Amino acid sequence: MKHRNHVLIGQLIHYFFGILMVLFLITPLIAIIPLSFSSGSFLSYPLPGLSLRWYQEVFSSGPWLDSLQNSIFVGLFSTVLATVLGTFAAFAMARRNISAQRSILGFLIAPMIVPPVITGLGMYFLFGQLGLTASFKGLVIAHTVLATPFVVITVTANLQNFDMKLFRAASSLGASPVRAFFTIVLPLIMPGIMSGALFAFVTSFDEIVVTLFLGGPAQRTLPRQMFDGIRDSIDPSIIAMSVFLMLIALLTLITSAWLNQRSKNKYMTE
Amino acid sequence: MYNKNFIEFIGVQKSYDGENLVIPHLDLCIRQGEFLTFLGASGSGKTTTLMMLAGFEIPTKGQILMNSQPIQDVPAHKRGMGMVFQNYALFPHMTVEENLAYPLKMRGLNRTDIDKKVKAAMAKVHLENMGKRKPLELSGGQQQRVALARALVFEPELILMDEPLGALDKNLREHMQYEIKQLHQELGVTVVYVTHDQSEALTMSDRVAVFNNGRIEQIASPDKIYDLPNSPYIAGFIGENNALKGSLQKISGTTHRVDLGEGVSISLNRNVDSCLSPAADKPVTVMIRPEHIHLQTSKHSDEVTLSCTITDKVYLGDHTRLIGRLKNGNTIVAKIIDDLLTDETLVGNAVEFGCSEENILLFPGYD
Repeated sequence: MKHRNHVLIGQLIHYFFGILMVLFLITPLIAIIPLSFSSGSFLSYPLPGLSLRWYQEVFSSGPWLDSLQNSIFVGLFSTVLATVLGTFAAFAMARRNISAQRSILGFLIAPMIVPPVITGLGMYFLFGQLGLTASFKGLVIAHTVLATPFVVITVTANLQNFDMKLFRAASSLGASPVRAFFTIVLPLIMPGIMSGALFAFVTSFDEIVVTLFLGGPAQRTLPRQMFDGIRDSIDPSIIAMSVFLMLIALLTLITSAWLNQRSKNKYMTE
Repeated sequence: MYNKNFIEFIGVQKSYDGENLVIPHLDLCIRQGEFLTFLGASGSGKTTTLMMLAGFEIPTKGQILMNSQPIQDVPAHKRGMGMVFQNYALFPHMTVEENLAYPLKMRGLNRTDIDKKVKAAMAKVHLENMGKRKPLELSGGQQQRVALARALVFEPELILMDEPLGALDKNLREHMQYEIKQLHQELGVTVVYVTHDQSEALTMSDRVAVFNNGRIEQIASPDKIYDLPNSPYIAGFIGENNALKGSLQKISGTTHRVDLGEGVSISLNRNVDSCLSPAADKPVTVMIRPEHIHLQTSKHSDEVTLSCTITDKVYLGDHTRLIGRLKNGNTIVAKIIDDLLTDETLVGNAVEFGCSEENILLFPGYD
């Protein structure tokens, strides 16, 4: 009896801290959502009234919409690049016993670990030499570097479930390595590639530090617009945009979880 | 038909790490149209040899010839060999039909030809109505058939099989052995089959190559391998064998005596292998198969007698295993058909085991 009580108390503590942790993480996010529906122009409770004026302001033409456009443009390009490069890198590593495999992987994943300020500063000097600062080209390249590790990691995880014997089977049936890759490997690891691409897009979409270093006035992305907004004049339009971004992040997370689940259920061979 | 040398391995050597030789030196001929089995324990080099033939591993040294043309540098997808993999390696995202059409598409055949050949291949392996299913919706035996059909559908001259029946249960395995053998005879294709299951090797093959430590110990027809093994390793690996250590003495002419120690000996009145001949005492291993031993009632001239005490008796339905101990302490296993047992064959009783001389094998040295 005594033992059962102990277990019960242990469970209660377990739940208590679990819920506390979740609250700690999401309360600040939830707290700002009502502010975006405020009819007043100050970030304060109680709300003077409810309105959608800040959403109207954000989504009517102007600096907000321009920066959203820039973000999507840079995001899509760097996502495509990062996905292609990251997938090939992950496949090369899964397929061959490359001698310095660990070091190469560490090198590829470095942009995820190195503080963004350092990456940004380094790129600023390098791109300055190459004439790539204050250009979309430079920004896309920089975001590709930052986003590729996410693709490498998700695709590598996916390839661990991929039976390399299938690749050999395709070869024995007359498929060249390139054809075998596109007809057999690619369809089977597509869920991993898709979720890697989602992460890559979100990485670029949220990126601020490197953009501050490299972006010129024409490359004003959404996070940069928000950053400037906080510095200059703070009003609920920034909150409205934040809520919109949260929504996108949430959708991405759900999609990626769904993709993972699907790939697990569908082709588990053994 | 079996005479042409189709595939030749000449002085092939393989090492994965540059130090340890998995295959030290391999010479091998595969004849057109034969069913050749690589038999061996795991790590014996049989799979490595198959992978070199398929093009998935590159020999460190030596040549592989196909129709007298070197192929060791030809990539796997250009060798045109059909292959059946362990666990089948069917493409899980394609239907059965798509799996079978795959090699034909790679060869650029047109739609109608592909359909015709896929249909024919499915009929051959009795899977007519399964075309629209995905591999994971099929049973193990059906998946096995699809794998087989996929390796056959593009009509290769050579089919490689890497332990294809390993994942099936016993009954299904025996049935598939029969079907594979049928297909081989029907199509006249050359088959190289890898297995560690000796009964599979003996029932299916025209020739068996027994691998041990990266070398082929013996390559011969199943009956030769079984009845005339060329080493104690083969004699012990294929089927069951009683191995006794002794020393060989020449008495006179063709009369020989094998001293098994402590007063136990065998007299042989026949020629022995030249490598065993010299007169002085020579260490030899005597091998006698359990099924060649019978209960002796009256002595025949060409028979050898071994007096034992029965230490164990195991009933196995169609036969009984008698385990006897010789005076020198060695154990001998005999397989006796139930009808031949008498009331006297009880544990603890003395018994005379007989064996005709021709069934006694001698090998130099102790294994």
